[in-house]
Amino acid sequence: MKNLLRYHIKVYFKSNKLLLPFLIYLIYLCTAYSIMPYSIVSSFSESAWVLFFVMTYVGFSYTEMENPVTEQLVLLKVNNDNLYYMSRITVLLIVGVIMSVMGMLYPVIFNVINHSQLFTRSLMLSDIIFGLFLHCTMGFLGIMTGSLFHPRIIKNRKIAILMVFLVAVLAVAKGSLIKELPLVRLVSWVFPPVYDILVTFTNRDFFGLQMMVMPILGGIIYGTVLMLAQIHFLKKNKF
Amino acid sequence: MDGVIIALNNVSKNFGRRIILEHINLIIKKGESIALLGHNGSGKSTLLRMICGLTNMTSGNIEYTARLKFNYVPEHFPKIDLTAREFIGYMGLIEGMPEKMVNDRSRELFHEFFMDEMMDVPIKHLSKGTIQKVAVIQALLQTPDVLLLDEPLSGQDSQSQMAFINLSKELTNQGVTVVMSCHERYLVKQLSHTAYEIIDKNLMPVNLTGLKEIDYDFMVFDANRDKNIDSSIMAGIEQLNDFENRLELIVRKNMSDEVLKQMLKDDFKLRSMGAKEE
Repeated sequence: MKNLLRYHIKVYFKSNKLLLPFLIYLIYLCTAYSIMPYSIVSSFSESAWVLFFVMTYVGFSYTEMENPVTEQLVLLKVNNDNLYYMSRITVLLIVGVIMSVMGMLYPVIFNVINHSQLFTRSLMLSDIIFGLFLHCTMGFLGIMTGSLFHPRIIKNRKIAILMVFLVAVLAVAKGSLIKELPLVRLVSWVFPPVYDILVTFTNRDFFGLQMMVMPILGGIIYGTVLMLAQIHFLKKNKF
Repeated sequence: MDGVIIALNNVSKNFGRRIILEHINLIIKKGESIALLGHNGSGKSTLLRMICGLTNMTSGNIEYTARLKFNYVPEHFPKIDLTAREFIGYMGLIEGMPEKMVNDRSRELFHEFFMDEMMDVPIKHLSKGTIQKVAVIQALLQTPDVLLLDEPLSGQDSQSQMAFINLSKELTNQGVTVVMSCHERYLVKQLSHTAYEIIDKNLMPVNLTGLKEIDYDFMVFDANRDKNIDSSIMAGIEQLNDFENRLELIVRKNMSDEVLKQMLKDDFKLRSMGAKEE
């Protein structure tokens, strides 16, 4: 697994595919935290759903980058399909965690530079821990959503792009859509629970373990189901 | 049956509504060298990938007598960002070889395939023939049970073809089973014990002694980017290797005069020629 990860990371970093989403998220952070003071919970929530979009793009572009020929060679070398697919997901998870840390470090450092004036109240360790959890969960959901639209799962790439865009938007906007069209609720559970997680923090001043457990757990379960579905479809739709 | 390691029973493959292979039956024995012939798109690559499980079959089944280690040489290796040394190194490590063994073995293979100077060049900057050598080297790092080769010799110069043929013979002597798709009919008899041709989605045995009767000539011309080879002589050209500054042609002996005359008439400059050595 270690060598497999080193190989994937080397190929990924040499492709420069990560540069664009990294810069987009960095620009977002610079712009979002340029306005002071800002509520901690709402700013972290906003940053987390932006990360969801960024990681959806990362997951999608990563599968696009995958070369089917080298993939076949490595699959034969590994001789374990599950291990191979898990290693690729692990690379994306590492990227997700790095981006989440970045999403938390930026406001923390910026707050220190601004003599703790960045937020409407003083930043606590619990805010950082819960915020990091929130970002990691959103990153995980984004990765699993984007990478599900793999070229071997959805062969028509134009449709795949449209679908991934639609799913990512509906994941966030399904709440407003339900308000307008209550029947949408019947199918809204199909989309990633980004809105369902974020709505928990509306008008809150503090993060709390009790209020976070269920939505975060839901997000992790949803992401894990997508992950298992992805591996299943990839094993079913070979080359 | 004695020595059988893989048995394909009534294997068929469709891509959508298109039938590629139909009711293929094939017995593969340990240490055997099998060549698969057939025109482009006949299903040779699909069959190779089905044997090692990289492609699912639509119907039928494949029986393996043991858990086999497959190595595969694809027909078109992609232009990737990694250098040849990096790629081969990772492949060895992923295969479970110790680092020192990977380094020693890859250095040996790079030397054997005349690639010492190109190890640290990104693969995307290598020529087509050299990229194909990388594909072959990754498959020869460690001895597999079954080596699957998809047009392993196409685009390679004669020296590398000979190096590959010798290595392949060495492997079959060691008990490695080799299954390859190959359109260089003149090389089939040197590489394989048995040959099949895919005709109309079915596998037909090929008489190798029949192939032996064809003799070939070898011609080298200066490459001329402004000129195309006349289509009237293409039937006589068994293989065409287009290198940066030269064109290598393997020509059926009975068509040699005709091919040579037409090439000279078309202003291609002859550099060397002779009978193709086996």
